[in-house]
Amino acid sequence: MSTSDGAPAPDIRNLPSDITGATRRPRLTLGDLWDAGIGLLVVYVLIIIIFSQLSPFFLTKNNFLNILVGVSILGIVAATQTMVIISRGFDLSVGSTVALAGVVTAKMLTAGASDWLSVAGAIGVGLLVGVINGLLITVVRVNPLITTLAMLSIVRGIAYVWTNALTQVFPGPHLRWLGTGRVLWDIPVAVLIMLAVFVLVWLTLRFTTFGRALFAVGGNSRAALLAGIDVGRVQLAAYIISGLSAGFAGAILAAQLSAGSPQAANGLELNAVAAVVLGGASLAGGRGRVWGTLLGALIMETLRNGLVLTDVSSFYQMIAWGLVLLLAVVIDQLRRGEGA
Amino acid sequence: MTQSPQHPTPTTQHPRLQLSGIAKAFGGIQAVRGVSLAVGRGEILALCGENGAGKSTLAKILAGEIVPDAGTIALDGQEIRLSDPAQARQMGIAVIYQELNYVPTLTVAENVLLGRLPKRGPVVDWEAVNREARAILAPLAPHLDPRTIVASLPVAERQIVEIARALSLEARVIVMDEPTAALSEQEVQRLFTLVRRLAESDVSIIYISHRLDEVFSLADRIAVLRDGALVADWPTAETTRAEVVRAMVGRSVDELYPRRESTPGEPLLEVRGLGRGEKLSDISFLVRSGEIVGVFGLLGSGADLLVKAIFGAERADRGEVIVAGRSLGLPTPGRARRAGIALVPGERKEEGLVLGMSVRENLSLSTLGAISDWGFIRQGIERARAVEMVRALQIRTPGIEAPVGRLSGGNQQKVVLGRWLEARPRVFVLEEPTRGIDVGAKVEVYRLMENLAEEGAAILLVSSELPEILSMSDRILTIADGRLTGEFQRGAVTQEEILDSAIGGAKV
Repeated sequence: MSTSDGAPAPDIRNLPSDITGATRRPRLTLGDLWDAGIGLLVVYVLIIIIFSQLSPFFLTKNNFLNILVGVSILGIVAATQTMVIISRGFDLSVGSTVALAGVVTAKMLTAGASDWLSVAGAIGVGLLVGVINGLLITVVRVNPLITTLAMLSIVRGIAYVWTNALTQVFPGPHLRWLGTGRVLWDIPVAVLIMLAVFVLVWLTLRFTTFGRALFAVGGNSRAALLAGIDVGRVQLAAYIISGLSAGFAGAILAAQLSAGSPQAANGLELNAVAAVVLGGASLAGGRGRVWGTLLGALIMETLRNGLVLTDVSSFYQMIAWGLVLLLAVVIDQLRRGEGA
Repeated sequence: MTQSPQHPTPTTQHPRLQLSGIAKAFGGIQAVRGVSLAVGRGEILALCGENGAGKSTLAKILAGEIVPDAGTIALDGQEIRLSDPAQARQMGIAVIYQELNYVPTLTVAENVLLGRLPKRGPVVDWEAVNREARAILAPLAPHLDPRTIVASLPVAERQIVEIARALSLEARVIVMDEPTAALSEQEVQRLFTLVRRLAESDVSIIYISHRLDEVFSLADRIAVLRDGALVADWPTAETTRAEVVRAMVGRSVDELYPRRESTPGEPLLEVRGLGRGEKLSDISFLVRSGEIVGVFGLLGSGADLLVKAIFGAERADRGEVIVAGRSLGLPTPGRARRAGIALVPGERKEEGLVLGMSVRENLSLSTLGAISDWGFIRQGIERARAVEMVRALQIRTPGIEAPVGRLSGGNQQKVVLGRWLEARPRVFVLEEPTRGIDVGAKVEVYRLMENLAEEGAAILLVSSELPEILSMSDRILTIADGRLTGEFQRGAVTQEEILDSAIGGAKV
């Protein structure tokens, strides 16, 4: 072979015919549908069909309202957990925060504070926990897993110490509107609040600069920093939002129980993370869908509800939850293994 | 040179390795196109080419890591299929990469015999391990203790471990991908001695490098890849450096770098006494509007730290950065961006792009504030801007919604640049802006720099490529051991002088 000199021919191979890609629609594959969350929806419908065959009480309006009420606390904290996980963080302190916020609500009501003030107190507790988490993680740079694990223990411990491990019952009429109130078409207030939180998180993730920054920070925090994004502030905000929502959820839980219990919401944080992952988020950050999280939480609660109605022991329930989580994650892994 | 007349000619009936019509495309980017190439027994073939010419893809094909789209590979006259790395190794093809593939926390012996440690029953027979490893190492590096932890060795010795592993697998062909990138001159010479010895014992070597000095002193033959195609193949004695360079670049150097008259205006970027511990000692300089200032430093000189500190991405502990007369103090990335500084970082994938995001999302990352109302991104404007930027920079992408990870290196770099163009900064800090991108894209980046300077931007160019620094800069600063060691005007300085200054020779 000899030399072939001269400039290379102009390269027109990859000039796009239409840069926006609007005209060329790629074929939809099963994988795309799974990516769009359809797979999860199919799983959910299957669960509903199966249980409606097994129990006559399952497919009723009341039971579905029960499921929705049952999922509301988990849903609220899971929605904001989605933001934290997208930013490549973790918030394991939400369960304990819910408990402490509930205790604060009960104590304040007992001490004569108004409904609104006690709810504000609960949210304040959440804010405080969120700020501490966020500052430790972004300023002191402690690993998020460790930080929020420590806070899980500390916050729960404070709730126990403060109450002597006793549930704080508050007088009846307080917060009834929040706990068991119903509005239009009998929809429980707690469920409406949860849906509102989901819509807010969705709007944030989909349309705002903060949402975009969360994805960028989670996808590649170094690149985000070098693009001029204030990475620390974005992460701090994510933990504060997570704390706020856990505080609010604590007030709702206390309202539902008419009491603040230091052992409430035990393990809620793990269910929240599970719902987020079930919904298609990546623990490696940069990926996640808030509606997927809602479906994930619904699947978990529906499964629990259905197994109770069909008289399955709660120990089997635990196994079933674990299996569903593994299944979803395995499918997702296989899907990504294809190299999309 | 050690090659001798009795060496077999490359065109014997059955060359050791024969590639015919090898082609490979990645998502529409043709990385290798129809390469046919033969290597004789005991021959040292140098494979040259610019970054992105397809050298590394070819190496990966030989390693069995990438399956080519077309073409055949024959080893000693027998056609073989390489579908995974284990198979390639079994066939006797060993590839030693730039990033070495050893386990740093294990010993030399364990690395050499990785995956086939001799055992006695179920337990590893450590005595046999060390004995076998010593036997394999003996001809290469008799002084090397097999029980040493690899991480504690200098890079050159680690390379010997890799080579030893290749030999212990009875490699017939060894492919070395830029093996000297991290070696000192002395270590390079030791490696060369070793490579020549291997060739004498009938191992065929494919030596991938763009360092022409090395290539000319080592290789029997030189082949050149450009834009994925083989454009030249000569016996070393029958060619010259100039000829090889021309084949690599595909045009003369004059065409590569645009020429321009610069008329520096008012000062835009001023760095005053910037320092951090011992690593950066009170750096002060000035870049004017319309000026391109080159910064050259060797590995570990602190040049990379300096650019990151100007943008606030690395912390400095003293000094200040002044943009157009306004001091930022010690900048943070957010403040630097708002003041009009753009940073194009050196490690495109690690520092420049969010690979999971689309081209559009990567393009708008630095201008989210400008295209949003009350924190809500104006999607129509974002899309329109992305389309416009893709057109303006001729970014080759299937569309603005394509994942940025699917683009070629050059086009990815244009996305990082485009992101900052959207922000309309006045100061550009470019760190290795043409690293790993093909020649065509390089020229486009140079043109872009020229245009930006003409429009009055101040550009700080940090590059380890001397020709680039020399041709593009109006002024050149050299940095060594964290301090500035020289300042030169364009045209009044040679490569040697700059190198000398960057080594720390000429103190200011």
